[in-house]
Amino acid sequence: MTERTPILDILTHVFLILGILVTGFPIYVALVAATLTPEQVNGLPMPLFFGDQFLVNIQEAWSRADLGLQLFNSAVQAIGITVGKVAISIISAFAIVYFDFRFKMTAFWIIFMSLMLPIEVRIVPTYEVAANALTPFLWLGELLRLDDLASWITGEKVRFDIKVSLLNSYAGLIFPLIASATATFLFRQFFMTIPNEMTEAAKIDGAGPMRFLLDILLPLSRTNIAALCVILFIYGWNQYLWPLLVTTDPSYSTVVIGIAKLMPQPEAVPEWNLAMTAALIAMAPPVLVVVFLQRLFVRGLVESEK
Amino acid sequence: MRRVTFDGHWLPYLLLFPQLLILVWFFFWPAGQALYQAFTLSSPFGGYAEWVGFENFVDMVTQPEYHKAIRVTVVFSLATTALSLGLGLLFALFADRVLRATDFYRTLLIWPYAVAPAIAGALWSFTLDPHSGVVAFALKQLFNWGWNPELSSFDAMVLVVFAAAWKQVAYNFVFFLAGLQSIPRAVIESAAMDGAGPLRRVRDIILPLLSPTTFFLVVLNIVYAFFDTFGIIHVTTGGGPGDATTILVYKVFQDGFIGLDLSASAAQSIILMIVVMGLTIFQFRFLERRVHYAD
Amino acid sequence: MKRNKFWVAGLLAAAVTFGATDASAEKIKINWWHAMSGGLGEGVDEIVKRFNESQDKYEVVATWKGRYRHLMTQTIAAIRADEQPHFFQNNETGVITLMLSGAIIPAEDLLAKNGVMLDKSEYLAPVVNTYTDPNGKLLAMPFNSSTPILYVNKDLHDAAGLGALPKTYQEMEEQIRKLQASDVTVPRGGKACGYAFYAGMWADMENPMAQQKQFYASKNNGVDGLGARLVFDNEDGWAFNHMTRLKRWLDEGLAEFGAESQTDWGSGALKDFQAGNCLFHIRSTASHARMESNKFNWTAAHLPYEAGTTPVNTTIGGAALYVLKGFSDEEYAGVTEFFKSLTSVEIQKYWHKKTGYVPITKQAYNELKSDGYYNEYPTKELAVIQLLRGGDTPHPAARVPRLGNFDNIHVAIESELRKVWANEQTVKQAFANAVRRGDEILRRFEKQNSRQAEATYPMLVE
Repeated sequence: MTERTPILDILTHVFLILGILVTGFPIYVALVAATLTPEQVNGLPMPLFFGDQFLVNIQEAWSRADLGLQLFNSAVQAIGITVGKVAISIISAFAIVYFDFRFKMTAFWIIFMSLMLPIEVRIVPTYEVAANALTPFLWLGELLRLDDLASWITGEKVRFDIKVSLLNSYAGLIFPLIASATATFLFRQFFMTIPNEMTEAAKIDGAGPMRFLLDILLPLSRTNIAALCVILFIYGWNQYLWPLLVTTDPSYSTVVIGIAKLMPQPEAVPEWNLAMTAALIAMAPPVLVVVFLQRLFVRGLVESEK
Repeated sequence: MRRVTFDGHWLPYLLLFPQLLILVWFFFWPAGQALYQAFTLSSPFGGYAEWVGFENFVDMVTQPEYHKAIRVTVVFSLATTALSLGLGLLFALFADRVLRATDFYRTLLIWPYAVAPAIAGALWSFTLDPHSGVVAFALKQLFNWGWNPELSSFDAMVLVVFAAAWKQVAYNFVFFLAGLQSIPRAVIESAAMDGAGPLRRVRDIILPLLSPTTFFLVVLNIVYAFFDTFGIIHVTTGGGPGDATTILVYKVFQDGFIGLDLSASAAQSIILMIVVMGLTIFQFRFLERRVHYAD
Repeated sequence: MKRNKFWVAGLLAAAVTFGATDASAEKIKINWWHAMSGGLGEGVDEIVKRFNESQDKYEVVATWKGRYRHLMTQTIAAIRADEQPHFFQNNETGVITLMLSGAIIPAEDLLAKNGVMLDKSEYLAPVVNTYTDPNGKLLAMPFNSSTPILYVNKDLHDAAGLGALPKTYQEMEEQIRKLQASDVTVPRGGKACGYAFYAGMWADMENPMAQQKQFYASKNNGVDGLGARLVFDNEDGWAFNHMTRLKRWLDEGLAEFGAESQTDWGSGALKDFQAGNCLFHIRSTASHARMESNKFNWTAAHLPYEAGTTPVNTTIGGAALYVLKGFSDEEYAGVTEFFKSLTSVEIQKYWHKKTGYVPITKQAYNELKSDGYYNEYPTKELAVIQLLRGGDTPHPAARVPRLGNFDNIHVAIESELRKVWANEQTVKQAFANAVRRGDEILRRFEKQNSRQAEATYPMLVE
């Protein structure tokens, strides 16, 4: 420290601790609720000290909402989004930064336009595509009158009707959420900071582009990739509206929407104890990731948003 | 700066293919559909659509409720941004002072970022429930304040701003802390030697040096408040009471999903898209400048 | 859809789904999407279980898809994607939307095709007339039907010696004043709150209006045409006076407002009532199961009416099962079997006992009566009596309004009224705004659907 200011130091700690308490308050309340019986949790006021029903509630919530399966689904979705997005982003950023080609600016603008438009505002048409992933091709077929052509050739009434449904599948949970270019931009920015000399040296050594990508670029990007993974994992895990829509089969439901089932309903006695237990379980994995991979998380955040 | 590039006739196209494919498939196609919907009046069940030109847009922007949603969005975004930026900065300033304990405090302050908006909403609506929530009870007992976000527009706005800012403080904190830690100690120490007290140092040196970070955070926080708060509003107030917390993106959802008027909803989406495009270009230009500046 | 198909298969082997028919030779699966959670959901599961065990040809799979509004949206999305269930549950507000959707098979047609003749006079009239089209054809299979009644905290009522339960709003007010003038206190401390209300349009406007023979919308509450507009804003009308009265009660401390939570998680007014703090609460008869958890003695009475008038029947809330197009005859035969089982006296009695929803056939009601069930549970009979007041030919005003995008109209009216409770505008302003917003929704719906209506129900578009 630059000077000795004991009062300010104490104030600093007091303020920070106060901040932590306010921030943590809802979690404390949720934790307490998770240890109470339904009668206690609906009492006026609800007790503010822990009860002894924690294990009972966990067991009940776990089996009622099938949390084991849902945690697994959430993990598949979050990891799928992470891996998929990182993989396609790296190679597309590599193409944009390290090649000159005719449609470079077009490609760049196509990617750029997709930045930051959240799925919420295009959700119904996205759903239709997910329901039949071949919709665009069918449309194209109709436009080109392929069915008439086929009918003419075969002499029979022919209609193309093919369907690849992504509803109730991991692909449906993952692909539409990969469709944005934030990560591509992150890698583009990062690649731009790598000195030209390295590329030149690689070229002189006779390394082709793929060799350069695998042996030089990827190792250099290691921490960036790891940091981005942390952010994307959280992003994927916390999705709400899309999984709600795209899964109708409970065996593909993710845990964030799974807790909706435990939330109190109009004509039932509210079981906040179970709802809060499930909420705590559902938020645990991303919170733990943030807490344990803090440095990577901070880096990921700062890098991916910059 | 000119980049050294590789030669490859088909390779760059191949490398770009997956990204472009997925964008066209799940982004541009649906966005195009939304655009088409915005200019037609169609049955939600599909099959029938009548081209109506700009009628949907006119219907929407002449609606008093739409104007109200704009006002609500402005108030909500500004309040959320101000609160979360202010607290984030304050925490960061303090945490930066206690060198040895920075990690400790950071750990205990950043985790709300990882909580899903929908879950954050559930936590806060349980904690702040006016009928049985502990906070409402305490407010009533201690201050005789009849906290009721179900009835009072003000209380409802406080609730959603609080829940939205809660998640975002952590985010701003991380950026401010990173910004603070990149300020060379020598600058601050020399100011201290010149006799500048802590408050003056913050005002005269630290804040100006942080201003690029702040500016950039303002844009991002506004975008967050515009869109990512959907889940929070959905589970806390549902846009009420009396539309008091219906922000634009929530109205898109409400008209489309509850009202089953996909055309009206799509028209609003398009307007929002334009706003977001504007913000994105603004941010991107600013960002480019900043990168050069940092080099 | 079912024309000659030319499958371009193979390319995408694993991911391709060939329509709904899985080659499993075992039971034919029938999908049902519903909105019943909690105790109601358990009731649904039990009904399905009994049906599945009763025969080995079909298997009904019931899936909970969230509240009605969400269920409707998801079903529409599924229809557009050709992924719809065989039938789904939709509430009384969605009738016209589905009637004009072109996506449903009228229940009466389905039953007739499978050799089941439906005698509509066997059902309670307000149940059936909610779901019949302009030609008198039953569009959907009525399932859960309820109507609002007045729940009373009997402990408070007795403690203040209030005598008989109130029949009119005037008596309600009188009793609340008496209770508050007495020294009776409530668990949260201090005086009791009188009427805990959530100003749900259904409980505080539509149903009381129906029994006072007050029209909610023109063209016979919208039943006769798409050109219907809202008409409840008349300053001499019952709705205007009643909302003014509720506001006065609120100001005088006779009533307390607790919103029906937007988040599906309960109602403030209900919570206050269930905590034992309030004397009255008006709510669906289907809340019986929930009231059973009350820690105090409670009872119920008929929905109050205006002193000096004779009420006619109230209308239903609840839902019916809509059969969707796109399946095989064999599957539809299965749906028919299930509907038969659903309306059987046995299942109707079970459902009524479990949930408080009314039995929808006269036979089930009569059997329950002769079983002596209502001697034991008299409050469960209130709703049936209310619905039967109009006999087989209810007054045209005592019919569920049939309005396009009705849910969104509800949102508009409720949010305008919310500003009245919060002292932000007068009832007059609220009604003017509500009617303007509601009519705009109706105008857009009319425009959106007139072509479809011309083709199917020309009488709706003059």
